[in-house]
Amino acid sequence: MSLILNYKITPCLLGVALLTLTGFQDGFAQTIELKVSHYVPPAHTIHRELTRWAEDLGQKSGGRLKLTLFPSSQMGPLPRQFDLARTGVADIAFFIHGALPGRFPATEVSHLPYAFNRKVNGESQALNITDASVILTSLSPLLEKEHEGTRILYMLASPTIGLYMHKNTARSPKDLNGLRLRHNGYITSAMVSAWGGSPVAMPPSELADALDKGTLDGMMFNFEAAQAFQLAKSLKSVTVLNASAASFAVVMNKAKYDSLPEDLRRLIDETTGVEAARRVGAMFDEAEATGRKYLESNGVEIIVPTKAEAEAFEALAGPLADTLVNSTGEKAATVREFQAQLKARVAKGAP
Amino acid sequence: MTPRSMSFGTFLTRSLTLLAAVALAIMVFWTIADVVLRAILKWPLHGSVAIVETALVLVALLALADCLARDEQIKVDVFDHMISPRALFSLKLLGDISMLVFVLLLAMTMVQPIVDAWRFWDIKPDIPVPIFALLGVIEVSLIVSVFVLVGKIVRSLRVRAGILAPSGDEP
Repeated sequence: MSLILNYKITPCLLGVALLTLTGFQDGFAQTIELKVSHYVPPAHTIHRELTRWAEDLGQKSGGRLKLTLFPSSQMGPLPRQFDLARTGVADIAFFIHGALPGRFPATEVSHLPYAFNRKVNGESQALNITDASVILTSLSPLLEKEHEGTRILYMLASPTIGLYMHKNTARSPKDLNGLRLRHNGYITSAMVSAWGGSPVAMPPSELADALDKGTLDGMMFNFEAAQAFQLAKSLKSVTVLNASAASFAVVMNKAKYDSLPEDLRRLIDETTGVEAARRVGAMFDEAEATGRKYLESNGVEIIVPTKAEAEAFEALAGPLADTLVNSTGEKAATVREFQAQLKARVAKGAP
Repeated sequence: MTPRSMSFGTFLTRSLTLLAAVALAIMVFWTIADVVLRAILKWPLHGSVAIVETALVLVALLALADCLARDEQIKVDVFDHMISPRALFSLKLLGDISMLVFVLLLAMTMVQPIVDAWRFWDIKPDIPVPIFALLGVIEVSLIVSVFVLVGKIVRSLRVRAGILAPSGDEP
């Protein structure tokens, strides 16, 4: 009797289970949730952009793609953001390359002193964030190898890094002598040293406190981040140097991307890439202008150095480029190749 | 060599505390030197923030196992005199088990960052310290803490069951 029951009931139960599973899958479109991690506060431009993108994807996919955002390092600290996406803990992450020194030697070429500058009427002039981001994203296929385990959705480069001082003003490298300055990667660290300062790595969320306590005298930063992290009250002056770029990327776990249905992959491709870099870059440029106004309205002195003053900084930092490229050891050939491509694209301008 | 009067476990926890004390000394002396040099000579010591940050983490986590073994963690004993000894025992046991789960989870979540830091040879931004070495020391301390907590819980249960004589440290 029990044998008969086993033979009759077990296949029936299995059949019902299979029908239930396949029936549900066919009858209802499956919602795929993607976890998006980043380290900046919700007021930051990239968070607003990711929120907009999440709504856009949700709408265009008919609710099949759902992005859940985890801002302010909720999923892990700043240096772990890339690895969260690489290892699949998060599906998508926005991160800054400078947090992982040496991990992205070719990408770090974009941080070299004045990498996004070109001569205009005899003066060194930095590209805006839009053009720099478009150039970097269009070159991103060359950087895929060092972003292993992930797919680069788009990249951003902010060549607007200047000197943000707590109690001082900086018109010449001599003004930085003995001052402790926050950097955003080992290349800007070398630049701070070349100018006579003492470089310190510190996450942006700790800067206001460090400036107010006197742990820091200043930092290499940009306007939009200064506003996002509400730093006006901790600053006396800003020297607009445009001496280096910070680079960021929005990456997606490769296995997760590959596991998506083709139409959803296409949707992600259509809403990212060079066009996204152009759009988000423009948002960053706008945020730079707003950030500058925010600092000015809070009484922060904005110093635009004269040609001679700017050249004094460039004379000390410029020659670092070759030294830094040569220090990449066995990867130096790849790094030089990327450097040549970047130089050519910067000279030509954004596509 | 383990001193004869000391068990291997105690030797291990004390050694980690000694390392924590060394980290504390480095942190204090480095900070004093940095503040003095920065204020008087305008010559701040390179890597001070990273060194202090690293030492602080080491102080807190390396001393954890010994602190748990000696039952010297911060305790709030508001209810101790209001409830029965049996209820008190259960609550303290629950506290130790919760701590064990927490430390175990912490130790487990550290594995992937250690593997990544080893594989990519990640270093601290301002000092040439490999991050896997730093995380590895912390992981050892967490694993020792797990063993300390398991030993503590087993001992309390055996005392409660009357198998062991109480030493006064049990819940």
